[in-house]
Amino acid sequence: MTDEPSLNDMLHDPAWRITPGTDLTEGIKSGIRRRRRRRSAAISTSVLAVVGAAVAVPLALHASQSSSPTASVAGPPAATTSASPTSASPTSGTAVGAAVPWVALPVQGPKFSGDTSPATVAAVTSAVPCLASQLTMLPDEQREGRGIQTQWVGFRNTSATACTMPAVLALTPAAAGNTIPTWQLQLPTSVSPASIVLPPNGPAQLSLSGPLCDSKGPVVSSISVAVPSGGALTQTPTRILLGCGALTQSVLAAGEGGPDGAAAQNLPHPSDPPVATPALTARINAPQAAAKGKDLDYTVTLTNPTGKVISLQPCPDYTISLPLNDAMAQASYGLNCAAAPGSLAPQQSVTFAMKFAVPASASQGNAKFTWTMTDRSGGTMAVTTTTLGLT
Amino acid sequence: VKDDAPDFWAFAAARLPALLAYAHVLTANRHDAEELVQEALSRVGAAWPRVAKGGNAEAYVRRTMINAHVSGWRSRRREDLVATVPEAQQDESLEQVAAILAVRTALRQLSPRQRAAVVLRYYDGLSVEEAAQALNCSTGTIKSQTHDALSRLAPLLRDDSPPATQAGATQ
Repeated sequence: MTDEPSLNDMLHDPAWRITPGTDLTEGIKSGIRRRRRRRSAAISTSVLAVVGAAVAVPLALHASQSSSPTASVAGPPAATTSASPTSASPTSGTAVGAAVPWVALPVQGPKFSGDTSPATVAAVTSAVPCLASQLTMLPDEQREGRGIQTQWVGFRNTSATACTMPAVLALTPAAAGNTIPTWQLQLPTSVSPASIVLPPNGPAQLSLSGPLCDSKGPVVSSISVAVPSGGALTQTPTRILLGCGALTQSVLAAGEGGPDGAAAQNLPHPSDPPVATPALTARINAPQAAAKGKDLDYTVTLTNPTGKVISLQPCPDYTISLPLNDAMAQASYGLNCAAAPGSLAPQQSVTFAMKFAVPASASQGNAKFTWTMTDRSGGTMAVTTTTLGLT
Repeated sequence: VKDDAPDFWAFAAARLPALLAYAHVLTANRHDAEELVQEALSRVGAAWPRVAKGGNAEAYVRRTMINAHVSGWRSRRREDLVATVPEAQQDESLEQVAAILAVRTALRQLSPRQRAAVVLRYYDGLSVEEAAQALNCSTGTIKSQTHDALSRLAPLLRDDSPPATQAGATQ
């Protein structure tokens, strides 16, 4: 076996030093500017963001779906972040009045960006479904980290007329040398798919994300994307590992994308600076059992455990997730800040009434129910989980 | 980075040589090393207040490089396997440079994750557990990756005389 100290010496040898090129500093400056522009663009509100979906395929999560912004389901469950345990009322701090009523409010934070120029907005009104012949599909970057792998695939409308595509696409993966089950994300017929507009020569990015683990499994060598108006596009991505099961997210977003673009704003990023520790503690108070296909009424109590006042402005969003048999149901809403205090003093608490339509397709038994609150930049402000017994 | 963040540029200027050397070991390719450092410093520069607040900026840049490297940040670029020669220091013999070149050639044959595991374990001096945490994988994976990597590097480290072809490349 190799002499490890020798390897250490070899790796630290001065011969590894290199003289930087003269354009390195300019490259760094340019990279910083590019990142800041993309970040700003992603945060700006878009009229095309009516798709509003935070993740994959919409579910009929609630009867008020028409006003609720986000509901989705896709492949097998990804690892969820778990924090404080559940079903516990706050035991300390000062509660602020009665529970703030639940309202299905749209998310306010960055989800999808798009072009809001007048020309594009005008094009939206006349856009028709894209044909496969109008589109090109090109591979983009692949990244992995923090238990998540993401493959980006770029789309472009190469025609001279605007056209629309659903935000969630039906995909068929293929793995050379491996037999893998046909995997297509299908929308429930009860839900109209959200769509995006690709202006003439306009780009879009498809992000495919899923859990990452060490398990060996088939590697998807190509995917076929069905175009609703007919035809399909086939692309060979760098690699998608299925060791932990299929992917959990598949979202098409308008605009230039890739890991630094709009689609990436919704996903854990392997190279982003670490998210600050959630400032607020959250506790769910929910029944131990919930019926499939029925509404679950529960409350979430936020407490400020710090010695400083924490503002609830700009109003945060929250996302609920519940694993299904081989998928993950998720829904995102804006917090009902209009009926809540604008800030929480030290040790102060506020309780929000919540509602979640338990998917009828959920399997019986215990399931981890996760509630996550995020700020306008997507940073986690509070997270909590509970275990629901589904009947 | 705005002009009101001069400490970022002071940091970058001071640590650039070390970061480039680190990236060179990690990528086994000097051009990739420059790109990787540029990529990492761009990311960190865009978030400098948060990174600086954390107190260990260099470690953060290194970790950013590791993450970017193993995630194939440059997957759209063709693999550049053109033999380039390490820049010999004045006090270094041709044989030493050749030996480094041989190690670099061997490192290139490893996967990005294997190289990252080697760098974390034998450059940064992390434990198996720490390296596994950094790469978000199991300790068993780190052990197997470093074992495979060391097996390939072993002949180079045992042999004091560098391969003739590699030595020739330095001239």
